[in-house]
Amino acid sequence: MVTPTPRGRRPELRRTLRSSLDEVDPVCHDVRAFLRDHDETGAGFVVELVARECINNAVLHGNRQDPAKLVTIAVCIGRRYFCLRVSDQGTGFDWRERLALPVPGDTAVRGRGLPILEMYARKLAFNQAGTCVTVWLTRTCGEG
Amino acid sequence: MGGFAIERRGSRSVVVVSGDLTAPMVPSLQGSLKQEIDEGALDIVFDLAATETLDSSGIGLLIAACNSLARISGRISVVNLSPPLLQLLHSMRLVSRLNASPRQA
Repeated sequence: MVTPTPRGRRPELRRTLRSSLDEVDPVCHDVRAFLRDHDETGAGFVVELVARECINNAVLHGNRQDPAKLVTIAVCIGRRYFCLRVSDQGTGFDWRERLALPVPGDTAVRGRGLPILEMYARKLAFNQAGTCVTVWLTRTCGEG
Repeated sequence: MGGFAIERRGSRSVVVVSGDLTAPMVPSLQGSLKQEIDEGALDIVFDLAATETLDSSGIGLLIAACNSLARISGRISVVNLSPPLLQLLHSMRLVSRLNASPRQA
Protein backbone atom coordinates (compact mmCIF):
# COMPACT_ATOMS: atom_id res chain seq x y z
CA MET A 1 0.00 0.00 0.00
CA VAL A 2 1.32 3.43 -0.89
CA THR A 3 1.03 6.07 1.82
CA PRO A 4 -0.25 9.26 0.18
CA THR A 5 2.51 11.85 -0.06
CA PRO A 6 1.73 15.00 1.89
CA ARG A 7 0.96 17.87 -0.44
CA GLY A 8 4.13 19.62 -1.52
CA ARG A 9 6.47 16.85 -0.37
CA ARG A 10 8.27 14.85 -3.02
CA PRO A 11 8.01 11.07 -2.84
CA GLU A 12 11.21 9.61 -1.44
CA LEU A 13 12.57 6.15 -0.75
CA ARG A 14 15.39 5.66 1.77
CA ARG A 15 17.27 2.46 2.49
CA THR A 16 20.36 1.48 4.46
CA LEU A 17 22.26 -1.72 3.75
CA ARG A 18 25.33 -3.50 4.99
CA SER A 19 28.28 -3.75 2.65
CA SER A 20 27.44 -7.13 1.19
CA LEU A 21 26.45 -7.94 -2.38
CA ASP A 22 23.72 -10.15 -0.93
CA GLU A 23 21.90 -7.02 0.21
CA VAL A 24 22.00 -5.20 -3.14
CA ASP A 25 19.23 -7.03 -4.99
CA PRO A 26 16.49 -6.46 -2.37
CA VAL A 27 17.23 -2.73 -2.28
CA CYS A 28 17.20 -2.46 -6.07
CA HIS A 29 13.90 -4.32 -6.19
CA ASP A 30 12.54 -1.83 -3.65
CA VAL A 31 13.60 0.99 -5.98
CA ARG A 32 11.65 -0.65 -8.83
CA ALA A 33 8.61 -1.13 -6.61
CA PHE A 34 8.82 2.50 -5.43
CA LEU A 35 8.75 3.71 -9.02
CA ARG A 36 5.92 1.33 -9.88
CA ASP A 37 3.89 2.57 -6.90
CA HIS A 38 4.26 6.13 -8.23
CA ASP A 39 3.37 5.26 -11.84
CA GLU A 40 6.94 5.62 -13.06
CA THR A 41 7.35 2.09 -14.42
CA GLY A 42 8.78 3.36 -17.70
CA ALA A 43 11.88 4.68 -15.95
CA GLY A 44 12.38 1.53 -13.90
CA PHE A 45 15.21 0.05 -15.96
CA VAL A 46 17.36 3.18 -16.00
CA VAL A 47 16.75 4.25 -12.41
CA GLU A 48 17.35 0.76 -11.06
CA LEU A 49 20.51 0.32 -13.13
CA VAL A 50 21.93 3.65 -11.97
CA ALA A 51 21.01 2.86 -8.37
CA ARG A 52 22.61 -0.57 -8.68
CA GLU A 53 25.86 0.81 -10.11
CA CYS A 54 26.08 3.41 -7.33
CA ILE A 55 25.35 0.83 -4.63
CA ASN A 56 27.78 -1.70 -6.08
CA ASN A 57 30.53 0.94 -6.13
CA ALA A 58 29.79 1.89 -2.54
CA VAL A 59 29.77 -1.74 -1.35
CA LEU A 60 32.74 -3.00 -3.36
CA HIS A 61 35.04 0.00 -3.64
CA GLY A 62 33.85 2.47 -1.03
CA ASN A 63 33.36 0.18 1.94
CA ARG A 64 35.41 -2.74 0.51
CA GLN A 65 32.67 -5.15 1.64
CA ASP A 66 33.41 -4.38 5.28
CA PRO A 67 30.36 -5.76 7.12
CA ALA A 68 30.77 -3.08 9.78
CA LYS A 69 30.21 -0.30 7.25
CA LEU A 70 26.90 0.85 5.85
CA VAL A 71 25.64 2.18 2.53
CA THR A 72 22.67 4.53 2.38
CA ILE A 73 20.54 5.34 -0.64
CA ALA A 74 17.80 7.90 -1.15
CA VAL A 75 15.66 8.08 -4.31
CA CYS A 76 13.44 11.10 -4.81
CA ILE A 77 10.88 11.83 -7.53
CA GLY A 78 11.05 15.52 -8.38
CA ARG A 79 9.07 17.60 -10.81
CA ARG A 80 11.55 17.17 -13.67
CA TYR A 81 14.11 14.71 -12.36
CA PHE A 82 14.65 11.57 -10.38
CA CYS A 83 17.38 12.23 -7.83
CA LEU A 84 19.47 9.39 -6.38
CA ARG A 85 22.00 9.83 -3.60
CA VAL A 86 24.24 7.01 -2.37
CA SER A 87 26.72 7.34 0.49
CA ASP A 88 29.32 4.99 1.93
CA GLN A 89 31.54 5.02 5.02
CA GLY A 90 34.82 4.46 3.23
CA THR A 91 37.83 6.70 2.75
CA GLY A 92 36.74 8.04 -0.62
CA PHE A 93 38.49 8.15 -3.97
CA ASP A 94 39.80 10.61 -6.53
CA TRP A 95 36.63 10.90 -8.61
CA ARG A 96 38.05 13.68 -10.76
CA GLU A 97 40.81 11.35 -11.91
CA ARG A 98 38.40 8.49 -12.56
CA LEU A 99 35.96 10.63 -14.54
CA ALA A 100 38.83 11.81 -16.72
CA LEU A 101 39.68 8.27 -17.82
CA PRO A 102 38.59 7.22 -21.33
CA VAL A 103 35.70 4.80 -21.77
CA PRO A 104 37.10 1.23 -21.53
CA GLY A 105 37.78 -0.59 -24.78
CA ASP A 106 35.82 -3.66 -25.82
CA THR A 107 38.27 -6.08 -24.19
CA ALA A 108 38.31 -4.33 -20.80
CA VAL A 109 36.67 -6.32 -18.04
CA ARG A 110 36.44 -3.47 -15.53
CA GLY A 111 35.79 0.23 -15.40
CA ARG A 112 32.29 0.53 -16.86
CA GLY A 113 30.41 1.56 -13.73
CA LEU A 114 31.11 5.29 -13.93
CA PRO A 115 30.68 5.42 -17.73
CA ILE A 116 27.22 3.89 -17.29
CA LEU A 117 26.32 6.60 -14.78
CA GLU A 118 27.60 9.31 -17.10
CA MET A 119 25.70 7.81 -20.01
CA TYR A 120 22.30 7.99 -18.36
CA ALA A 121 22.71 10.92 -15.94
CA ARG A 122 21.53 14.43 -16.68
CA LYS A 123 23.93 15.51 -13.93
CA LEU A 124 26.39 13.69 -11.69
CA ALA A 125 28.01 15.10 -8.55
CA PHE A 126 30.38 13.79 -5.88
CA ASN A 127 31.22 15.24 -2.51
CA GLN A 128 34.81 16.33 -2.01
CA ALA A 129 35.98 13.01 -0.57
CA GLY A 130 34.13 10.83 -3.05
CA THR A 131 32.04 9.04 -0.42
CA CYS A 132 28.72 10.39 -1.68
CA VAL A 133 27.37 10.51 -5.22
CA THR A 134 24.23 12.29 -6.39
CA VAL A 135 22.71 11.49 -9.78
CA TRP A 136 19.91 13.36 -11.52
CA LEU A 137 17.96 11.50 -14.21
CA THR A 138 15.30 13.16 -16.35
CA ARG A 139 11.76 11.93 -15.74
CA THR A 140 11.74 10.84 -19.41
CA CYS A 141 14.92 8.73 -19.08
CA GLY A 142 13.07 5.50 -19.79
CA GLU A 143 11.73 6.64 -23.12
CA GLY A 144 13.50 5.39 -26.23
CA MET B 1 17.77 -12.69 -7.58
CA GLY B 2 18.18 -15.58 -10.03
CA GLY B 3 20.39 -18.35 -11.22
CA PHE B 4 21.61 -20.07 -14.31
CA ALA B 5 21.67 -23.45 -16.02
CA ILE B 6 24.24 -24.67 -18.51
CA GLU B 7 23.38 -27.08 -21.32
CA ARG B 8 26.29 -28.66 -23.13
CA ARG B 9 26.14 -30.10 -26.63
CA GLY B 10 29.58 -31.05 -27.91
CA SER B 11 31.75 -27.96 -27.96
CA ARG B 12 28.76 -25.63 -27.54
CA SER B 13 27.48 -24.55 -24.14
CA VAL B 14 24.25 -22.63 -23.70
CA VAL B 15 24.04 -20.61 -20.48
CA VAL B 16 20.40 -19.92 -19.69
CA VAL B 17 20.25 -17.09 -17.16
CA SER B 18 17.12 -16.76 -15.05
CA GLY B 19 17.05 -13.36 -13.37
CA ASP B 20 19.50 -10.49 -13.14
CA LEU B 21 23.01 -10.89 -14.56
CA THR B 22 24.54 -8.65 -11.92
CA ALA B 23 27.34 -8.52 -9.36
CA PRO B 24 25.89 -11.09 -6.90
CA MET B 25 25.67 -13.76 -9.64
CA VAL B 26 29.09 -13.12 -11.18
CA PRO B 27 31.34 -15.18 -8.85
CA SER B 28 29.42 -18.45 -9.24
CA LEU B 29 28.82 -18.01 -12.96
CA GLN B 30 32.47 -17.14 -13.50
CA GLY B 31 33.55 -20.41 -11.91
CA SER B 32 31.12 -22.42 -14.02
CA LEU B 33 32.24 -20.72 -17.22
CA LYS B 34 35.87 -21.47 -16.46
CA GLN B 35 34.95 -25.11 -16.02
CA GLU B 36 33.08 -25.16 -19.34
CA ILE B 37 36.07 -23.72 -21.18
CA ASP B 38 38.50 -26.05 -19.39
CA GLU B 39 36.32 -28.97 -20.50
CA GLY B 40 36.45 -27.95 -24.15
CA ALA B 41 33.64 -25.45 -24.81
CA LEU B 42 34.47 -23.31 -27.83
CA ASP B 43 31.07 -21.76 -28.47
CA ILE B 44 29.23 -20.23 -25.51
CA VAL B 45 25.75 -18.80 -25.93
CA PHE B 46 24.26 -16.66 -23.17
CA ASP B 47 20.47 -16.78 -23.38
CA LEU B 48 19.13 -13.71 -21.57
CA ALA B 49 15.46 -14.20 -22.45
CA ALA B 50 14.56 -14.10 -18.74
CA THR B 51 16.98 -11.31 -17.79
CA GLU B 52 15.82 -7.75 -17.27
CA THR B 53 18.90 -6.29 -15.56
CA LEU B 54 22.55 -6.36 -16.61
CA ASP B 55 25.05 -4.25 -14.68
CA SER B 56 28.71 -3.41 -15.26
CA SER B 57 29.80 -6.54 -13.36
CA GLY B 58 27.65 -8.71 -15.61
CA ILE B 59 29.02 -6.95 -18.68
CA GLY B 60 32.53 -7.53 -17.35
CA LEU B 61 31.79 -11.24 -17.00
CA LEU B 62 30.61 -11.42 -20.63
CA ILE B 63 33.74 -9.59 -21.81
CA ALA B 64 35.99 -11.86 -19.74
CA ALA B 65 34.33 -14.93 -21.28
CA CYS B 66 34.75 -13.38 -24.71
CA ASN B 67 38.44 -12.71 -24.07
CA SER B 68 39.03 -16.27 -22.85
CA LEU B 69 37.29 -17.79 -25.85
CA ALA B 70 39.08 -15.52 -28.30
CA ARG B 71 42.42 -16.86 -27.06
CA ILE B 72 41.41 -20.38 -28.14
CA SER B 73 39.61 -19.30 -31.35
CA GLY B 74 36.25 -19.73 -29.66
CA ARG B 75 33.14 -17.57 -29.84
CA ILE B 76 30.56 -15.97 -27.60
CA SER B 77 27.07 -14.81 -28.38
CA VAL B 78 24.47 -13.09 -26.21
CA VAL B 79 20.92 -13.70 -27.40
CA ASN B 80 17.34 -12.79 -26.61
CA LEU B 81 18.17 -9.37 -25.19
CA SER B 82 15.36 -7.06 -24.13
CA PRO B 83 15.30 -3.66 -25.89
CA PRO B 84 16.81 -1.77 -22.90
CA LEU B 85 19.64 -4.32 -22.55
CA LEU B 86 20.40 -4.25 -26.26
CA GLN B 87 20.44 -0.45 -26.13
CA LEU B 88 22.81 -0.58 -23.14
CA LEU B 89 25.26 -2.81 -25.03
CA HIS B 90 24.88 -0.64 -28.10
CA SER B 91 25.76 2.45 -26.08
CA MET B 92 28.79 0.61 -24.66
CA ARG B 93 29.81 -0.34 -28.23
CA LEU B 94 29.73 -4.02 -27.35
CA VAL B 95 27.03 -5.40 -29.66
CA SER B 96 29.48 -6.61 -32.26
CA ARG B 97 32.08 -7.94 -29.80
CA LEU B 98 29.48 -9.96 -27.92
CA ASN B 99 27.48 -10.97 -31.01
CA ALA B 100 24.44 -9.59 -29.25
CA SER B 101 20.96 -10.06 -30.68
CA PRO B 102 17.42 -9.10 -29.63
CA ARG B 103 14.53 -11.20 -28.39
CA GLN B 104 12.53 -12.76 -31.13
CA ALA B 105 9.00 -11.39 -31.45
